[in-house]
Amino acid sequence: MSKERVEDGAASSEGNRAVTDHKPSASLWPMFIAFGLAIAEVGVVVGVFVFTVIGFLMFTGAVAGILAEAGYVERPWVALGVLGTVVLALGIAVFGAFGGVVGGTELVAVPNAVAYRGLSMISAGALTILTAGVGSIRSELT
Amino acid sequence: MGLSGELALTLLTGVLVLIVFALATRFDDWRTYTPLAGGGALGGETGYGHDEKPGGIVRWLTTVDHKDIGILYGVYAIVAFAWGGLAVMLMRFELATPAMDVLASVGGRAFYNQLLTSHGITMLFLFGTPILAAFSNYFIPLLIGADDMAFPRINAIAFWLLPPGAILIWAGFFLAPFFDGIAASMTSWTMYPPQAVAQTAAGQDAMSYEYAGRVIASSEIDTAALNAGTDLMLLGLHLTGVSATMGAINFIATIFTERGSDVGWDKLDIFSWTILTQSALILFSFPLLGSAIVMLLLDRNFATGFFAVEGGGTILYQHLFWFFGHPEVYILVLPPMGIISYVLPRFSGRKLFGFKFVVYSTLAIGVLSFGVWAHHMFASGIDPRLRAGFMAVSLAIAIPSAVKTFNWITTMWNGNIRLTTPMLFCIGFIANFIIGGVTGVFLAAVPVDLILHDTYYVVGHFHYVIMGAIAFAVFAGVYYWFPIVSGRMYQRTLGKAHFWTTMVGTNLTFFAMILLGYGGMPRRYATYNGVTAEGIIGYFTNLHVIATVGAFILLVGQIIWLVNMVQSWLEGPVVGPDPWNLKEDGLPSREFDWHADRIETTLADGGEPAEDEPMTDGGEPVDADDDAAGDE
Repeated sequence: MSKERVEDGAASSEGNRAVTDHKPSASLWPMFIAFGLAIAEVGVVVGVFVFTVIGFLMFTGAVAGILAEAGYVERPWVALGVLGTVVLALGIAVFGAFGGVVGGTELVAVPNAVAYRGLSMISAGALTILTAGVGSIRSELT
Repeated sequence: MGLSGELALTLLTGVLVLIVFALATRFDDWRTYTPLAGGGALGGETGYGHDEKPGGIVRWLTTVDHKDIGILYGVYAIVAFAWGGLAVMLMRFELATPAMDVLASVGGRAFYNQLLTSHGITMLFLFGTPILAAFSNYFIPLLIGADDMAFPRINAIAFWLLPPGAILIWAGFFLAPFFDGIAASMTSWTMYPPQAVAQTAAGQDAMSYEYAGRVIASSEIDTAALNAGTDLMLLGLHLTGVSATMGAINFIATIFTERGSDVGWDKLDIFSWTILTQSALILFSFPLLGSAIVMLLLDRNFATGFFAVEGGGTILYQHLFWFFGHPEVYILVLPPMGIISYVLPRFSGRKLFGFKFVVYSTLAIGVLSFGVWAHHMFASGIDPRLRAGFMAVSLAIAIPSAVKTFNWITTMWNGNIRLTTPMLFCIGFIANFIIGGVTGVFLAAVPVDLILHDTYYVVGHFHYVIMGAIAFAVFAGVYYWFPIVSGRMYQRTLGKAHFWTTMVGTNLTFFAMILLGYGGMPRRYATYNGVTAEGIIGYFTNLHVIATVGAFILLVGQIIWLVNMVQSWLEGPVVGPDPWNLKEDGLPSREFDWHADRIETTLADGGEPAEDEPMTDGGEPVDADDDAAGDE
């Protein structure tokens, strides 16, 4: 996976090019990171459920992908799971802090627009973790 | 809120994204690297080959090559330039008559305010910063002998944040026909609260309500009535800020760590110095903009009170905004100054006079730019002792600016001047920058500012700098480096026509504005038919007509430029290794050495040989003797 080694700060033989040794010529992920961040941002601030979920999935997925591509992580799925957990935790915090309720007749109740945004982030986080799990199992099998 | 429906939709989306993601991972192997990576046996330059990239549109969507990204930045900035330019043309046509005429049928004053906001934000954030990033992305690695940027992928991320940023910033215009509650933002580019916090889609105040025929002020915002176009614009602006910050970090890392072994700090060229300083300014100022925007968004959507009277108040916003906003001026002007300092000597036949002092003045401007922000707030009622301090620093910043100006003039002094198109733009830059700078010195003085504040004088002043100087330097850079980027030469006559229309148009438009300001014409007004004083209305009308004529000339000039660029890119004469005959004057430059190398490599590869001899400034063959004065 990692065709590119990250040097541990030591200067290479050609001057002090310490950051990355081999330059890639193309990468799939940067565009998705940018678009994912933009969509997620709009989703959370304007309060559009679907945008939040698509945006976070795209963003976390592409971040995991780029980390794996650059060789910072061995496999993308663990990174994706961690990122999903962060989104999930943020969502739970927002949902809880603004009076979201689980249980009762409605199963999930959102008393205000902020708790609603928390719920959308929970969904995004949960789906991300699910994706990470599925991907991990798939790559184990193959 | 129809939760179950949304959950179902979300699940569906999740499955869709999962499929896309699964497909994407299969694409892992199409991505290839430079074949000689790590070897270096055949020299470092081999990494520039284009063969390994995917073909077609995928190449442009996935590229992390600094040159490709530079071109993407350039194309993006030109689209933004067209949007901002067309917006201002509508405004100028409206201002040609005192009453509301031209825009009356498409939304009147509210639409004028939308155009005004869009013009300002677009030109500063979507044209100004990206077009400079276009130059720096393409040329900094070449100038410092690096293979690429320090973080090529982050470079690509920084670019790809811009298109969604632009779509969000302009979103109000696109959504307005479909939603009653959404219009393009009308906050002007400064986005001052309380207006930016409480403006409805009709341009009304969401903090007041009508009761029994009277308008009652409220301390509560009716959030449902707020214009979502402003929220989207703020989000877009936030993305462009993130993009600029990522780019800045990348340039700092690149210039510090990726310089070739033969490029020490003493050998660093002037353009790289200005980009380094600019990146530092971005690093310290853009986070302020981001924070202020987040606070505005929270005030608007989540009932916080950062800029409410009982919170930090509107002056807090002004401090935060201008702590970013003034360095932003130097973020925009330092790299153009670098381009001038780089290009002007090549056509003066001399090295840059006082190189060290030009670098020192760049650094001095960078430092001082953080100590002048309150001069934008002289009329806001801040403590007079604060005003005096900021006046002193604002006046002091004229010194390093003058150092640069005199160094450019001295570089030309007794030089072997070749009036090529880039050189004309360099000279135009200096002329306009002097007018823009001197009007700025007057504005820095508190008593003068209090009289001229919020008049067209201010508008004239900063347009002399932004259009007259920054855009001129951009054009100088575009013409100078066009042979490298396109491999061809532009059409000389069209280049000259572009320069003269731009020079005449700029001075007609913006000098008229300075005179309008002396007359007391306030800025940001769609109409001025309320002026009743004898003689003044005629004075205003005449000058506005002159400014509109100037703007029209500018429009014609930019169309000429665009035609020239596109046509020459496709059909221009292929250039040789030294299209500007720099070697003759002993002024070789690293990026043209690279250009020559590339041509050689292409020929060795069996690529198309150049059919024509290289020609200075396009068009006609040049004799060895009179090539210097070749064009005029």
